[in-house]
Amino acid sequence: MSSNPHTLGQDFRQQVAPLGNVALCFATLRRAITRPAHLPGIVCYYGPSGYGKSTAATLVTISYDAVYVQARSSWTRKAAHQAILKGLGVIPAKTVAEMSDQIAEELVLSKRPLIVDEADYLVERGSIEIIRDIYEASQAPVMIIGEEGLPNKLKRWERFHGRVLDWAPAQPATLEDCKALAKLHSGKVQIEDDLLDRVHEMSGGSVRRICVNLALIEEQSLVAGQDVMNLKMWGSRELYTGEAPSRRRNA
Amino acid sequence: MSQAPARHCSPAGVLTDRERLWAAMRELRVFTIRDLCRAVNTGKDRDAAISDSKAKDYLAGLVRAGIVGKGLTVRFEPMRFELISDTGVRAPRVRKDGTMLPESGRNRMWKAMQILGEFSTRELMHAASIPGAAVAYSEAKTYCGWLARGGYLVQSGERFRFIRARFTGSKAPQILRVKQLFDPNTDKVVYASDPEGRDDL
Repeated sequence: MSSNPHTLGQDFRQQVAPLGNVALCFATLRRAITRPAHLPGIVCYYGPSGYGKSTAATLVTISYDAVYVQARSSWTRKAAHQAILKGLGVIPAKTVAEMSDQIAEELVLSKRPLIVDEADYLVERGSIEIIRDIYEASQAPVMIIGEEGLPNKLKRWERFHGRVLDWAPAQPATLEDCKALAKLHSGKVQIEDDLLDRVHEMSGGSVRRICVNLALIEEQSLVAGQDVMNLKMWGSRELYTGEAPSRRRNA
Repeated sequence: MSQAPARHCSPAGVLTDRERLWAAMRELRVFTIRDLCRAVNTGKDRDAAISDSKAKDYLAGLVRAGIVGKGLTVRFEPMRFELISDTGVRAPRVRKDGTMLPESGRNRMWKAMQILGEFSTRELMHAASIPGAAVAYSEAKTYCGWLARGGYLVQSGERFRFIRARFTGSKAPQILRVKQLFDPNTDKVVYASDPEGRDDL
């Protein structure tokens, strides 16, 4: 068993992570980990909700043995530090300054990357500098994950913005992703390519909507007692597009 | 004065034997096996004492992994060890032959479920598996079942939701076995063994 986190990440991507966004997330964090010493080490991974960012973050966290925290709107400076220390498994000190040192020390020694999800909350509260402090003190690779508008919001914090090595926008799900998801999630019903094509089209690139639609198709097929489903059999039944239903017109 | 920099991190939670040994090594930096055992066995509780052989086993693995250095052999002098590569508060998971182990499957599942938030057993299994150390479906299923019983997860149909407030720390809750001697004549548990099955590597 190799203990090198880099090779672990690579193998993993090739073996079980067929989704485009997962590969992108891996590549982004790897860039921060393997960066030359003179380059900054913060990377930002962002995209609309439902694009599978958290799933990608999970796989990356597990493979790189990263420290993962999810920011919340209620976070004060103290709460943020305590949460990171909890993730690290360290008993928090009393003051924020001490805790900041603890985090930096532990990140330096363990060489673990830090992943901060829902970073929008930190930016909105103006406490994103916490992350910069930790980065400055430890030079540990840091990945912040947030919504589509995150890079824009960060422009106000020039000192932070300048330390970002790479901005990686999550990509909409491709048809290949859709096929991979079908293989992963609907084991009981075989969904044929023409219907998958339609699912992909209706889901507008959102992994979450694809999953909802696949579950819908599987459920209805099982109810009808069919273990294969294609576009013709599905007919004009609705698929979930995430939009509120339009008013029915009288024909 | 040249002193090692002050360490301000101590591990959270109850420590396993190996974690206690590791904490003592980080404290002492240079030590003999005797120093180490003395530092670890400070409490009066004799049952919790860590034996020399246990310390030796762990040290052997750490030396082979290059984390602890071995001093020169001097006659009539106990061997001195030195901590060369301090990897933080987490005790390195190392086999006796010096190969490193990845985090335990349960720890990986525990970590994955707080990120996923909402998941099926199969999704958790995929998320927590790494090459060379896959998590079995049955293992994921058993673990989710127990965590749901403990109120960490809420089950709805085939899916589970992690209760954020129940994220108690970075160590995964463990499923233990307790053997009990039950007397049906008096409807009493007469004797219960110490729990077995704690992650102690």
